Amino acid sequence: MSPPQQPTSINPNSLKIQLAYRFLHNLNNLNTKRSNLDNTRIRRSHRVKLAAYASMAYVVGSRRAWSRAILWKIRNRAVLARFKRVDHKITTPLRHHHVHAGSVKRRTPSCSNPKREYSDPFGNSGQEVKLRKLVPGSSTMDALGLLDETADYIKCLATQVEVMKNLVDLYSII
Amino acid sequence: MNKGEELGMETFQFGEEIQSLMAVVQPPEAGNSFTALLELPANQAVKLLHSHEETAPNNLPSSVFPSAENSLETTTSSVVPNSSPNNVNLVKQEPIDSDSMHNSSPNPSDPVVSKSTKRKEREKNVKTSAKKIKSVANDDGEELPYVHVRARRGQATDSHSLAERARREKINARMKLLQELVPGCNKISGTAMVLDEIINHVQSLQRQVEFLSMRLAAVHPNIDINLDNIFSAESGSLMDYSFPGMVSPQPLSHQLWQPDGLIPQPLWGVEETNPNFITPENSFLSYDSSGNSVSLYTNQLKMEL
Repeated sequence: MSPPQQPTSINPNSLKIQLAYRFLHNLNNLNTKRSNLDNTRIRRSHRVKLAAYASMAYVVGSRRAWSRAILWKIRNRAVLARFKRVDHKITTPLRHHHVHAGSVKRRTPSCSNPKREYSDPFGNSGQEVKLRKLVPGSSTMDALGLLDETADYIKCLATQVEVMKNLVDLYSII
Repeated sequence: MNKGEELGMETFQFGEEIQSLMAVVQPPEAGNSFTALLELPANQAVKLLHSHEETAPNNLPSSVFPSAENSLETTTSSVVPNSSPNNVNLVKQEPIDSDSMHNSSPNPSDPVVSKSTKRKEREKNVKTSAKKIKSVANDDGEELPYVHVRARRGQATDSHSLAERARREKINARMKLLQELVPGCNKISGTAMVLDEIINHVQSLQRQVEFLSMRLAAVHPNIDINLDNIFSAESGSLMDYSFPGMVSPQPLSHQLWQPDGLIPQPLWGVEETNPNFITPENSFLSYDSSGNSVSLYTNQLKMEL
C-alpha cells in the first residue's frame, strides 16, 4: 500500500508541536515519577489536567502573564497548600507582583481587582471580573492587558485542546 | 493676529484629520472620504484638500480604510519618516508609538502631537468634518506651538477625555481581535455580548481540557512512553519494519504532519491500516523497552498530530 501524500513542510516550532512534546513529556513524568498507580481515577485526571496546564505554561514561557502565573502556582504548590489550609479567605498580600497575584485562591471578586477602576471600565456588568477569574494572572492588569492576555490564553487553550483530542483519539484506537 | 488666525485655520484643518484618525478603527461607521467632505462648506473643503496637498506632499499612499486593527500602530511608525518639513514647526517630532500615549503619564501635548502626525496618513479619511467647526470657537484661545486635537461635537475637549477616548478605541480594536478568535462572535454587536461569548468560550475550553484529561487518565496508565527515545529518534530512520500505511523513510521531524493538524487528514493512517495496525502495535507496546516500539508509537503519534 503506497503511503498517501506526506505534508510537505511543517514548522517544527509551531505552538502545537511544542505543546505536544511538552505535554507528552509531562505525562511521562507523571507516570514515572509517581508510582501510585493505585490512585483513584479522579486524582489521576487531576494530575493530567495539571500536566496539561503546566505544559501550556511552559511552552509559552515567561512571555505572558498568565503563563507566569501558572508556572508560579506550580512551583509554589507546597507553599500555597499550606497557605490555603491556614486561611481560606486570602486577600492577596502580594498585589504588586503580577506573577503572584493570580495564584492565590480568591473568594471575593473585589480581591481580584487591586484597583477599583479595573472592576468596571466598560460599564459592563461584572463580566470583566469573571474574565479575570478565568484567565490566570490577569488580576493586576488593566482592561487592555486583560484583553491581550485573554486572546493569547484562548489561542493556547485551543491548541492544547487540539493536542489532547488527538492524543485521546490515538489512545482510543489501541 | 494674522498669524493667530492662520494658526487657527491650520490647526482646525489638522484637527479634522485627527478626528478622522480617531475614527479609523470604526470603518463601518465612517463615511467615505469625499462624501464626508461634502458636508463641509465647499470653500473649506477645498482649503482642506489644498492645504494638505501643499503641506504634505510626500504623503504615503495610504490605504483608505485600513482594516487591520493595528493600523494605528503601523501607520504611526510609518508616518514619522515621511513627515513633511513644512510641519516641523507646527508638529513636534517625536517617536510615535500609539501605545506610549497611554502607558506614559497623560501628558496633554504628547497625544496631541502623536495624533497630529498620524493624521497625515488620514487626510483622505475625514469622517465628518462639519462637526469640528463648532468646536473651533472653544479653542481659539490656545496658541501653543502644537497642533490641537479637536474634539467632536458635543464631547469634552480636555486632554484626559481625549486620551480616554483613544484608549477606548484601542480596547475596541482588541475586542475585534478577540471576536475573530472566538468562533461565532463576529455577528454579535456590542461589547457586553461579545464579552459574554468570550467568557463562555474560555470556560468551555477549560472544561474541555478537564474532560479530555479525564479521558486521557483513563486510557493512559496502560501505555508507558519512553520519551527519551522519541526525542532522540527524530533524526534517525525509524522504519526498520515494513509497515503498511505508516512508511516514512524521511526524517520525521519535518514531513509527517501538518501544523494545522486537521484531524480527518491524519486519520488516514488509522482507517486504512486499522486491522493491520492494532496487533503489531499491541505486541510492540507490550515490550516497551525496545526503541523500536517507542519509535513506532512516536510515528503514529506524529501522524495524528
